[in-house]
Parts: sequence; C-alpha cells; structure tokens
Amino acid sequence: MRLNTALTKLAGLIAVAVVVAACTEDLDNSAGCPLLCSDQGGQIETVTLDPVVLDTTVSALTGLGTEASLFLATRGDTIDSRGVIRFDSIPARFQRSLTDTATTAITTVDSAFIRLRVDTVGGKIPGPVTIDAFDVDTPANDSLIAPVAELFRTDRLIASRTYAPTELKDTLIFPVPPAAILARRGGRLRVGLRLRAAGPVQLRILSMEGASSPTLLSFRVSSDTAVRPIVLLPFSRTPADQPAVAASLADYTLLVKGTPPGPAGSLNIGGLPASRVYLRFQIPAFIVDSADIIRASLLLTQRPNRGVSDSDTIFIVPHVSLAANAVTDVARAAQITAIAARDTLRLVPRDSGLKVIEVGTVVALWRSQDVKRTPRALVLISTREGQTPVEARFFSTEAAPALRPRLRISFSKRQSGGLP
Amino acid sequence: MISGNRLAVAIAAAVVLTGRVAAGQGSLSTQGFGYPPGQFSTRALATGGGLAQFDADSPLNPAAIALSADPRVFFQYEPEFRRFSADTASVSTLTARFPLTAASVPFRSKGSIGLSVSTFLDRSFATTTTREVAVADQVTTVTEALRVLGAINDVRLAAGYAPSAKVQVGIGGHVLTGQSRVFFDQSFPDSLNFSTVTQSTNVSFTGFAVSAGAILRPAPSIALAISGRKGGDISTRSGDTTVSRAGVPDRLAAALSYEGISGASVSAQVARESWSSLNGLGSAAVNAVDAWEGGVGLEAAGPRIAERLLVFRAGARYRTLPFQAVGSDVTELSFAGGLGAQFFRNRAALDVTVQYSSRSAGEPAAAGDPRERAFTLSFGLRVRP
Repeated sequence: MRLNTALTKLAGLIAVAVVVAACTEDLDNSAGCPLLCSDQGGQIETVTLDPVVLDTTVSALTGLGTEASLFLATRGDTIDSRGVIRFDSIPARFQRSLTDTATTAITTVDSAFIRLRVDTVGGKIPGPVTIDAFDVDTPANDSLIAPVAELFRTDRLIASRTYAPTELKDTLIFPVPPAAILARRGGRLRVGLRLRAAGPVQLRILSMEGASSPTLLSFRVSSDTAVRPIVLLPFSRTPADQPAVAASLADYTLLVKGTPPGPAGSLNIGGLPASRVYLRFQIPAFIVDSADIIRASLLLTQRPNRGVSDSDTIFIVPHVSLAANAVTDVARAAQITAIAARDTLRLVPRDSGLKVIEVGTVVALWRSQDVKRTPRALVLISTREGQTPVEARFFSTEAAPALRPRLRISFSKRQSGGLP
Repeated sequence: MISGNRLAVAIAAAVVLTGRVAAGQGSLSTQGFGYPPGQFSTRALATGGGLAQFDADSPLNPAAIALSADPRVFFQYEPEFRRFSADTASVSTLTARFPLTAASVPFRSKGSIGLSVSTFLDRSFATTTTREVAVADQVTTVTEALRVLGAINDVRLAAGYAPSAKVQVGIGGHVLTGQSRVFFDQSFPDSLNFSTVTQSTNVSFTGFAVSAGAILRPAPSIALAISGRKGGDISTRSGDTTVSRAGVPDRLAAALSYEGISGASVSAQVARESWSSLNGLGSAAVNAVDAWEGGVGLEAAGPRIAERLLVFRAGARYRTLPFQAVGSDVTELSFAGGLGAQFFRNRAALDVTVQYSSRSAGEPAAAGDPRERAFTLSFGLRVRP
C-alpha cells in the first residue's frame, strides 16, 4: 500500500514537472527554411524620383550672437571676422569680504585679464598669432556692424598680445591693462578682438551659447590677498527692452567681410554669413503613405568650391521643416526645423560629384504629417553654421536632369495578407 | 431539466479555456492552414482514434454524447515535442496546445447537449532567415523574422439522444472561427541608414458546418458508429473586408468496437476528409488534398493502484495530412499508449497519453528529404461537477 501511494505521488510530481516544462513554447523552426518556407520574405524595390518642386538657398538668420563660437579670421581679401565681448557691469565699488556689508570704492586694479576658451579645430594658424583688443563701446544700434567695425582702430586699442602656436590651445589668458578697467568703473567695457598673423589666420573662441562660462574678466582691486578678485562674465545691458537679444549679444561674431556668394542657381550651405538650403518635395502618396520604406537617400551633385583649401571640410545635417503652409516666406520656413535624420554628411567643399544623405527617418516622419497643412521639406544645414566660412555647393533643379537633386527610395514589396 | 447555471458555466469554460494553439512552420506538419490535431480526446488519442467515434469528449460523432448521464466538463492540454530534419539541418521545437475543451449536460433521461471547442487547424510558427539583398547601390544582409500565431477552431453545439439501449443518434452545428496573426520583421545590420520593416496582419476565419452521427449496438459485444460532417462556406476577413472564401471540408467516418473480451475493448476507425474544399482560401501555393485516416486501438482495465483502477490504452494511426509540402503529400504514422484513472469518488478522471509520430513527404522522399519525429503528451481532465 505504501509503495503504491509513493508511486502515485511520484507519478504526480513527474506529470506536474513535465506540464510546467512544456508550457514554454519554442516555435522557431528556421531549419526548415527555405525548403518549407517558400516566399516568406519580401523583395525590395528601389525607385529614384525627381520630387523636388522647390529648392533655394536662404539665409540662416541665426541672429547676431546666437552662434556657439566666435569666429575670428583675418584672411586678406576674403574674410574679415572679429569678435566682440561685452562686460557691461564693471563695478565701481567692492566688498572686502562676503560678511562685510560695507563697500569700498575701487581705486586700484591689478592682475586684470580676460580668459578665453579656444577651439582650433578647423583653424588656420600660420605661425605666431597676435590678438588685438579694442574698445568698441558705442551708443550705435546693437544690430549694426559698421559703427562697431570702424572702432577697431589704433586710438581704441586696449592691448595686444602675441601667442606662439603652441599656446593656442584650450585656455588663453589675455592680459588687460588696469587703466582700461579703472576708466570704466561703474560703466561698461566692450572689447573687440581681432587676429593678426604673417598669413591668413582663423580660429574660434567658445561663446556663452557654446559652453558654460567659457569667457571671463578677472581683476584684483586690492593688494590684500584676503580680498577675492572680481570675476565678471560677459553681460550686455542692451537692448534694454529685449533681454533675450541682450543675452545673445554678451559675445558675438562681428562679420566685417564674409565669403563670396556661390554661383547663381546653386544650392549653398555654410559660408559667412551662413546660408542653408530649403528643399520642398512632392512624393507620390503610395510611397510615403503605404510603402514600407527601408531606405531613403537624398542624391545631390556637388559642385566644387575653389575658394577654400583642400583640407577644409564641412558637415551637413538634414533637418525636417516643420513650417506649415501659413508660413509663406521660405526663408522663415527654413528656420522652423527639427533634427529628424541621424546621418551627417562630411564633405570636402573643393570636391565634386554625387553625394548621398540618408533621410529615411525624415520620410518616415512625413508619413505622420498632413501634407495639406505642412509641406514636405528638408533643410540642409552646416553643423557649424555661422562658425566657419567653409561653404558646400550643389546643383539645383535648374541644372541638367542628371545633376538635379533626387530622392532614391527603397521599399519592401512584401504585402502581408495574413494567409498562407 | 437543464440547470441554467451549469450550462452557463459549461459554455463559459469551453470558450475561455480553449487556449491558443501553436505550431511551427518550416515543418512538414503545419503547411498551409496548419496542423490538424485530430479533435481527439486524450483517451481517443491513446487508441489511435479507434474510440473517437464512441467517445463523448471527442467532438466528432454527436451521437456519442447521448449517454452522458451527468453534467461533465473536459479539459485537455497537449504539448508536442517535435524534431524536424532535412538533409543536414535539424531543429527541435516545443508546441503547447490546448486542443479541446468540452462540456455537456443531460436532458431528460435519454439525451444530452454538449458544447465543445476544439482545434481544427493549428497554424502557429516562427522562422528567422537571412539573405543577401541589394538595396539601392549596396548589397547588405537582411534578416527576416516571421511569426504566425493562430488557429481555426471548431465550436460545436451538439445534441445526442438514445431512443433505446441499442441506438444512439446525434446532430451538431459547427461554427469554425479563429484568427491568424502574422508578424513580419525585416531588419538590417546598418540600423543608421536602413529602417526596419515591421508588418502585422490579423485575419479572422468564419465558417459553418453541420454534423450527424449514430451508434448502433447490434450485439452486446459489438458497437458500430458512423458520422458525417457537411461543410458550408468558410471565409477569411481582414478588418471588414472579405479576403477569400472556400468550403469547410466534409468528413465521413465509420468505426467498429468489439467488447467481447472481458474488461477490454478493441476499436478501429476509418475516415475520409475532403480537405481540398479549403483550396482557394489561401494562395495558389497552398494545396490541400483529400485524405484518408485510419486507426486501431485497445483499451483494457488494469490493476488497482492506490485503490484506483487503472485503464491502459494503446493504439496506432495512419493518415495523410491535409496540406502538401514540397509538392508531395505528407503522411503521418503514430503509435500511442496511455492510461487513465479516476479520483475524488470517481467525480474526476485523468487521462495521460504519449504519442510518437513520424511524418514524411512523398514516396520516395521529396527533395531535401524533410522528416519529422514528434512526441506528443496529452493530459485530459474530466470533471463531473
């Protein structure tokens, strides 16, 4: 009897174990393919379309001071780009310590310097480089270039400093004469920076928009080392009625002479002042709305830009335009964008020939857009827009058919009916 | 008098507990619309189907439920361990099925009404393949994963009546329903430039049929059974669109049971099913063929263990599966054995069956020599509330 009971319990346990083990399905029978899996995959078809109905070069309209770095360049007859840094809060008095509520008038200044963060990527350093700093304070309108540019003259020179190429890395200390600070106590110090060298020279200085506190002005106001030095960040009080614009103007690139415009009818990306390309598409609905798109590539034919050197490169990223039909100004529509593609195209502007930008994710995004409300458009932008004079050029729809922008789309032809 | 509560419970249980079925394609047995488990209860499966025409739990012969004296509910779980081989490739799969749930209640003293839900055709599989493909100007590897889950189930409402001890008759109405969910992914190694294609499709099935059957006992030791199912239309729908239409297969079966040996019975069944009426429901590549099926089995009382009487069963079955593979008919030869015992003062009964099946395509073997070996475990629990 005991043996029978034990056997029964054992059989029950085995049965439970088998049932539990058999609950986890493994349906993968791939070894039977392709012998018994006929036609389960889908063919992939590729079509190349001429879907661009509007293409044009437009100004980047990035706004003065919104660039991530200040582009300083002196390249003879081609480019003259300078930087302006505003310190509109030079104090007239100071506190000896944080706990001392009494303030003391500033009567002496020592150890004054401006700290800059340099980015030499894409820079041209022919040898020793001299940075001239000018007093560019002027009551002229903030958006004007010429009144500021004409202040880069000898009688406005604050200081100069020559740096060896090895010193031009990361942090740069530019000494400032104490008199320049003392003369502006309780007022503002606006410094214009310009490069000089034996040959064409260019480099970039990180701006307030491109890094966290990259630039500062430091000076001591007492010989007592217990008194902390005064440290000021770039700050602009004007325009007083537009705080956002004023924040941008704390430091900005002053482009005195930009790159020459590209040939008429070409699509130009980059350069100074910066430009971008707007492309509007009309794609058959059955492709955008119905097809399972695997790959979408924008085919552009590059035309060489002889105005740059062989070593110059530019990175182009496609943005999708989010501007609705209500925005009729293409230049404005080209500003209302979002990054939708992961591909970045690296180009040598002197090069030529067919270039490919992957825009599959953009086309996928267009599927969710109502084309009656939002035109399907791409905006091609340089990743260093407004920070480099390098410009890439492409043939537009006005060129010969083989040179025009095209869209190559690969899609799956598999139509799943759900039946064997 | 039928208890309303009991009927409701039985119907709900039948609908809810007939679970998802699954199988694998890339295999011989699940070509076309899938594999037919046979609509056998665990008990009938162990006898090679020989008892199926007499078995009240197997939804084949509506006359078989006539003598169900008590309300009863039956659940069945049936995992299949399959090994497929072709040339040098082989793979093992595990398919979990709940192929049959049935319930019946007696009415008056000579009849019974039953509801059952059983797997008619089981189409579930997963395959993953890779191949080289040209996308625009670039040749790349594409990985295609296909997963199909679904089945056509047979919902039968049947009534059986026994006007005398020698005659049982029954009729049934069938609704064939179910769905097939297809998930397809096409992916590429370079996910930066290539987008993955994901498709999912859901197709539903709706079909109708009627069945009738009879069991005759001309002598105390002999029983004869005959049943038939007449198929109506079956259609597939995707959303609110009818995709295709065909016919539910007719089925004609006859069986003989000999009970002249004390404590034992020998039974045999032969059936013909006109699967070809399903042609047209799928693509032209799906070719269903009419098929014969035959089985023979033995059921015998065994020893008492733990004060319970064990019943031993054994059987063999041979049949042609409905859908051709690589242009050849697929045949299946099965051997089964099992046992049964009752518990809880005979208000519950547990049947266990082990079936070994071998399947092949064509004679001589089709190209690639595809073959299958499968072990099916079947657990059937019958409860009389």
